[in-house]
Amino acid sequence: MSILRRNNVRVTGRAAGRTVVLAHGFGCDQNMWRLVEPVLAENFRVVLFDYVGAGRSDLSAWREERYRELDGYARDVLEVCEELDLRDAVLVGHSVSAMVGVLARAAAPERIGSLVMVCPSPYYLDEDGYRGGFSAEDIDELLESLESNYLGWSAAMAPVIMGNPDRPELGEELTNSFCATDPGIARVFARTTFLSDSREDLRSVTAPTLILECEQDVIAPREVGAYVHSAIPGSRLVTLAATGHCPQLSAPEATASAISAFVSDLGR
Amino acid sequence: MNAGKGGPGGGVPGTDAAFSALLEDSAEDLYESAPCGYLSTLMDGTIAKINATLLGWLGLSRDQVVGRMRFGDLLTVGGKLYHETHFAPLLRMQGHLGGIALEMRTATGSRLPVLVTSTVKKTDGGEPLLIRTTVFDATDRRAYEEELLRARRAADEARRQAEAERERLHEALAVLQHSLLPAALPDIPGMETACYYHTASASRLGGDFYDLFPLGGDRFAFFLGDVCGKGPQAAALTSLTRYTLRAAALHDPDPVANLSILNTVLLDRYTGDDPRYCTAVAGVLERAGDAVHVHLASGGHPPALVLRGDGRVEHLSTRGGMLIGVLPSAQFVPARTTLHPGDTLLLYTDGLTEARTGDNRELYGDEALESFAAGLAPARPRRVVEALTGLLHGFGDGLDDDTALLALGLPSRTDRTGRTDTGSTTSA
Amino acid sequence: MKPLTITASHVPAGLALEVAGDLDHTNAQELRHAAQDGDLPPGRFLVVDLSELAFCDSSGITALIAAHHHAVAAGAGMVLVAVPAPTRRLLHMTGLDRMFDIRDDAASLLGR
Repeated sequence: MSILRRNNVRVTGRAAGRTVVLAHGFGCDQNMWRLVEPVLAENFRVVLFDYVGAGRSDLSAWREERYRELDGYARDVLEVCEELDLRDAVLVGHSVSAMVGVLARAAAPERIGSLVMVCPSPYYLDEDGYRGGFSAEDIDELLESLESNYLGWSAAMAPVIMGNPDRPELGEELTNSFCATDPGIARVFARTTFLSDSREDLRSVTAPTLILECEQDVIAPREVGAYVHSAIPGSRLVTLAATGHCPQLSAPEATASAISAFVSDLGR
Repeated sequence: MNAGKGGPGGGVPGTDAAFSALLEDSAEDLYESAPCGYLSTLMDGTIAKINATLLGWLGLSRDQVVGRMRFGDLLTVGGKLYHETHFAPLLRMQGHLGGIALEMRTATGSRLPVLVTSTVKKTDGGEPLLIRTTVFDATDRRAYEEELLRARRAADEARRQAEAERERLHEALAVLQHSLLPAALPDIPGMETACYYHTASASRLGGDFYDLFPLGGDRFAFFLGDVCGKGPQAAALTSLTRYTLRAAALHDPDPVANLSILNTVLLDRYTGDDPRYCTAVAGVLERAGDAVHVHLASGGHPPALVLRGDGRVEHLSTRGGMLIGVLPSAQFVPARTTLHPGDTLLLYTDGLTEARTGDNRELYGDEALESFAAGLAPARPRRVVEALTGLLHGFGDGLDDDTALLALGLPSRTDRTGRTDTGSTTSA
Repeated sequence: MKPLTITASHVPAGLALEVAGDLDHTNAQELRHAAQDGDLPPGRFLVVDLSELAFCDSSGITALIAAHHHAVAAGAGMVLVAVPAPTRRLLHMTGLDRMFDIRDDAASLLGR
């Protein structure tokens, strides 16, 4: 299976424009971007994909050994970039994908020229002198929540949701299918997301970086946004008048225009 | 509907009275005292309206909540994470979300498992306006679900263990199977050797065996045979047979004596109503200038074939040699031949001749094998084994027994390329 | 495939077993049991009539050997009657024709 098929890659927008890769975070899939993608597509070439294990990716390609490290997700990003032979692309990473972006950029700076971090957090746990906002018990609680909501997950749904990227209507008939993930896969992604510590990686970021945070975000509170901003030299921090962890859904216009402004500035 | 057994009024006697009480139930009262929680929030989650039932469950007052708390604030931290990463985005995308399991935290700190359903109310223009949510107490259901989850985890674990167990067993079988055959045939200067082993079933240990090993000087010993039965018991018998024959060959140069020793060992080991026996050909190769003398003996085994360099095929008759391990007085029959350059000695087990062929599934048979060999001769060992391997593959599912092939020969003068050729092929 | 039937009867010579059908690894045990369970006084014969035997594999041969051992241990003899050609060939190849008393006709043993 090709990488494009494996990661359910979709390319839209202005072919001549700068390439903007939108990377979804833990929870859902590339549908998270559906309100900002049309706006960005007016000026840029937009690349959407699902990580292996999410959305309509090829589930059979999922390996726990690979995807229990953020590096495995970064390899997905890099393989998509290589497949499309991207140069100097802007990687927009939501939540955990902001940290995935840091790893991908470090591995292939020629392909990923700059980073946009949407509600990033390099570390979710509280530790001496650092407030990530959560305790290890909180993460266990999340894993429990995941489990109790996957009672409705049926393995029979998987081929319908995952296997038909060309016929999305099949998936849409199924309630909540955007976030439907194999429970075993979701557990691994959750642990990787919430237990990885990427704080050291931030200090070596040399790419032009835009950090988008929300006024109210329980997952990535503002002090975490400030931490990321201070850790990445020369980064730009924009606080959106939005609530929650997904401004691309709750404040799509503001999110899209902040990204557009940053990308447009890069050229100059 | 159970109107007669007491409605919200509780204790009102008679069906008619209960019915009128129900009719008098106002929408407001139904909202406040419904058997489920209701709340409405702004799009950012700020709680605008909440019913008394939910406030009661949470142990909170309306003033503490309305305009001050967001929906997420009512949840446990884990629930909040799930809400932010799954619930809220899905609700935004779908406008509706049903039957999500979350946990709320009450004023006393206890947890309340709930099932939540939310709908986004939109303006006439289609803009999202507010979120309406119903909350059901799911304590009992959650306890049941936890049982299910526990059972599933236990089943998953049991399956993992069973798979690991099966894997270990598979490896053990493979190791055992390998121990019954030589890892590689030894290099015999001036001779070419080839072998093949077909396993009828990967999961059942086979009952055929062969070996070729040095006796010192210019002499080598070989044997090939077939034990009765299949599986672990056959493997144990094969192991005993193989090591007995090896030891006997090192001890005594006479193949007949070697088979007699094996006969004694098997009779001693397997007695009474569970006879276990084997058929075997065992022999010695001895170099004599350009030729190799072969001295072999057979017990109940199909005759060895010699493909001569001039194209003839002979079978080495060992008629009358008995099954090994059946009778104390068993007789084994010797045969001798000499291999010259271009000659190949072929040993095989009856998986080959007993294979079923054709529409009538008839036995392939000794005559067919001799004709096949005649078609090949003259042929060096590797060529013979290759051709027979092809023949075996052609039998398909007509070949339902293990089959072992061992070919030993002297390359003809024209075959020689200056290097020692010891082709060896094995397959499972 | 022909199902295996084993019919035991007492004859002047001892115990007769008529073995009919396919004798293979799935049912060879039945022949062993029939030989062990039957009443076989010392000095008499276990007469195994194979005239209706359709097929016999190595498990069948093993059962015949076990029956032979059982008869010998009981101080009795064993006779194979009317062995079909393929099985005879197998007995020949394995040298068992020297161990078994093989007869084409055993009317006198069977009291016919």
